[in-house]
Amino acid sequence: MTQIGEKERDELELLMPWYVNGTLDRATAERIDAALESDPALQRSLETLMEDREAAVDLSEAVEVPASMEARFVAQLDAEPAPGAARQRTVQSPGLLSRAGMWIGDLVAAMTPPRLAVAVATACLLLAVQSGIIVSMLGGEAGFETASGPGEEAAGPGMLVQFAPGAEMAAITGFLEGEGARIVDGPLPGGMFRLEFGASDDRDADELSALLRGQPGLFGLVLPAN
Amino acid sequence: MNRTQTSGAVADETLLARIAGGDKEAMHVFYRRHQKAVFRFALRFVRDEGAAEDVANDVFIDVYRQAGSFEGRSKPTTWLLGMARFKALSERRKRRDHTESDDVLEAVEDDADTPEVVAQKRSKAEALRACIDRLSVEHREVIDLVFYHGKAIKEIAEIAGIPENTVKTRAFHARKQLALLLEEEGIDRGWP
Repeated sequence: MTQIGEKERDELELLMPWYVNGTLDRATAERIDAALESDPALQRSLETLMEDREAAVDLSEAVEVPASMEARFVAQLDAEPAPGAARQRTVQSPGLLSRAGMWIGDLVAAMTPPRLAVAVATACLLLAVQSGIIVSMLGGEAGFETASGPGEEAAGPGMLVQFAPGAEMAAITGFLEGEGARIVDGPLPGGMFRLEFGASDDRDADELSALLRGQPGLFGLVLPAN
Repeated sequence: MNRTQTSGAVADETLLARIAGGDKEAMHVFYRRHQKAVFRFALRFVRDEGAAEDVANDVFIDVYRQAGSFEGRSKPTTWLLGMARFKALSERRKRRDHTESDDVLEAVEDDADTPEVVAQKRSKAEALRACIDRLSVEHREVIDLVFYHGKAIKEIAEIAGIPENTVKTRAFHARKQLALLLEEEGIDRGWP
């Protein structure tokens, strides 16, 4: 073992974080390997850096991505023209329903079924709302219906909710189906989604609020829609 | 960031080439692979989940629009985090007043207990996480880029737009600041 000088220790000390994350070139890493054998200060530095790394990773991984984020992205992406074609596109072309169908095909290939239901619901609703067209595009295919149109069943009571961070889409859709409810709009400002219960549902807003607030793993903020 | 990419998965560079051709399925794969890392990185700057969500999704829309301009001079994740940093800082500037008032509130809450009481309440690991959370945005950024995103010195220099020597000294000062914060809570790291 050879002792290292102060200047070399200072130089290696500055590189220690990258020794720990494994991105230094081999020669530099080997210099640090050798220095660590004889230098208690660098050894202590390494110990603290290992602790720092664990804490930093724990902190980042504790942050959950909001449940609505992917559905919102899918809707944004669908509204995008193909790269390089931005100036070619008009509002009506190639047609909202046609584009929605192509987009659903992409999603079916890339998404798991539970996520698909909510993502399709959100994106198609945005398309419908933006264009002023309210149609029933998916029906039972994805377990979702768009907002009511002429001839459809009258709307039941409505609620506004935020999904709880980390809530699983499968759990959300399973719960809503069990209660005869569906997502009819969103994301709205504040990350809210509008839920609609069946027309024959005679529970009032207070009862529905209590029902939804009783599922803290699924819903955050709960408000009456009307 | 590569921690979410399994061996045998389609390489990011391949996905970007497909995205440049308008392949939305490739875009979905790329998004799902990196959405957490980009969201978490943006959140450090804007400190608001809604804003971080908007920033992250905007970054991926830009990826879809600009995938054809990716030249492969840096790793895709470095390109991605560079865009995320730029957008997050712009958003943070817009929200500056709100953020500063939040900082004041956080500081008040941090002073609620004496260092001895805090040290008794928390394990060392908990205290360390709390102290990392109290670092300045610049110091926290470099800590995250090194340890969570696994970035090399050169890559961090590119993402943050600073010289490589500044990256090294910034990381060193971040660690020194962390040691000082821990000392305030009654924990002596024995370093530096």
